[in-house]
Amino acid sequence: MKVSSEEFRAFVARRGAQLHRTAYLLCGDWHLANDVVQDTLVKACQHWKRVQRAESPDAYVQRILVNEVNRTWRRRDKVVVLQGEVDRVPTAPDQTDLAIERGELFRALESLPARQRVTVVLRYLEGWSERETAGILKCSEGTVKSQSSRALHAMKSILEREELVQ
Amino acid sequence: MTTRAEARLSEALRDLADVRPPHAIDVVAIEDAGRRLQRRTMAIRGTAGVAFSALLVAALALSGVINLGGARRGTSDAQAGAHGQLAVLAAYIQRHAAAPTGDATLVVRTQSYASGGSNVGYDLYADDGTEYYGISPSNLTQGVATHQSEAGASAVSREAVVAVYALTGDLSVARERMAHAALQPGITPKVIYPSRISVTDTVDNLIWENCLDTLTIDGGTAQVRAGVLRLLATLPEVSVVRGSTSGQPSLTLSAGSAMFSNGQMETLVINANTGVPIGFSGGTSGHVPDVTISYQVSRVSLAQVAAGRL
Repeated sequence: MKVSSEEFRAFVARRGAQLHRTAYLLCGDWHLANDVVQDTLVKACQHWKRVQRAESPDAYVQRILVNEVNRTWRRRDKVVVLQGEVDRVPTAPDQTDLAIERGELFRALESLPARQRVTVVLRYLEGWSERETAGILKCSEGTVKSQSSRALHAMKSILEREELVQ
Repeated sequence: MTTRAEARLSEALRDLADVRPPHAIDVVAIEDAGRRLQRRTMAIRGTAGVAFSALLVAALALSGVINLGGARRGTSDAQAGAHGQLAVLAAYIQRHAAAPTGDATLVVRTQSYASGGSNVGYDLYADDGTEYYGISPSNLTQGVATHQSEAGASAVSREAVVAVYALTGDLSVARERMAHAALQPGITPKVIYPSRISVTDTVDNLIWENCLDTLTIDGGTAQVRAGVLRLLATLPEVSVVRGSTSGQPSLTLSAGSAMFSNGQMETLVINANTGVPIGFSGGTSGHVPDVTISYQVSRVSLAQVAAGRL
């Protein structure tokens, strides 16, 4: 079983940045996200033929990443998220009319139960459909709908920003 | 249909995630590590796999399968202290393991959260290293019947290999290996550890976490359970209390401030005769646990599960 370097590298070039931003919002730490993406891609490389045979290779690797994040959460005491990490996120004047304080949004996201957070990130950051998200999370579409609904409600109550969630 | 709120949330999340330059991925190092794992997996499945599999599948014994009812661990064992109890139980399991049944371990995991929610998960760990997950018995059956195994599952858990080694090998070496078993070969750890925790405590923390994972994932294998208990017996930060849980004789292993830097508290409950995990809770010390998990571990056959007979 020899990995096709060219195809794997093309995959990494195409999906690497997206995997990283997903990991970042799920982990809440830039450096930890690096490690999660690294471990995810090592497993994808190890099982590359299986990835290629999957109905959706992107979804398959996304699933590996979610598993890696879950594994990281179970070990989160070993990790010190640098204090002020969120506060150091650049706050240059926003070019959009979305006047959301990033730190506040980050904290709202972090406060969600793990399953809801994953659902929100897959649905609203990565744009996976409800069906695709259900496939990645190995749950029903109904569960994705209810988790999304709860998350939206929770974020509304936390942020109290009508302009974000109405 | 996407609502306005959802569209704006998407925009806000993208804005949040895109504030930093793209992550530089060392694809060469990743490929090297991936190939090493491939070679290792193939080697294990080949020659070494025969011996290892014999160890892993041998002597599977679960509650009700193994007959330890007449077991007597004398008062001298009790006097040996909390960690003596674990070491004695490890030796007992190792010696009295019965022949295994089936070809997979089913873990029914019921998780309850402080917020009031709860969910049940069905984890199936086949002896060949394949893992399946379902949110219901029928969902699990479907996954097994259609061979939809979990992505990213390792053919053989590195932690399980270390646990088996701990039974006969150098315990200090086994501790070191278990502490770092979760890391991919060839990957340099970048995790930042709490500075005020000593190196020893940090290693103990890693051993605790990895042992808990191993006991859950490979809890159906007596030799692995015995090795895990032998390693847990080396952790002075862990207290052990004998009692009864859900009608079973149990040992409650607790790790608190001596183990964690952030006020966290974790408790693992195992059957006092077999070492099979019964429950787990984790959260902040002095508060209602964030999560409480109960485990029901049993041996099954993949064919049985695929046929819907759980």
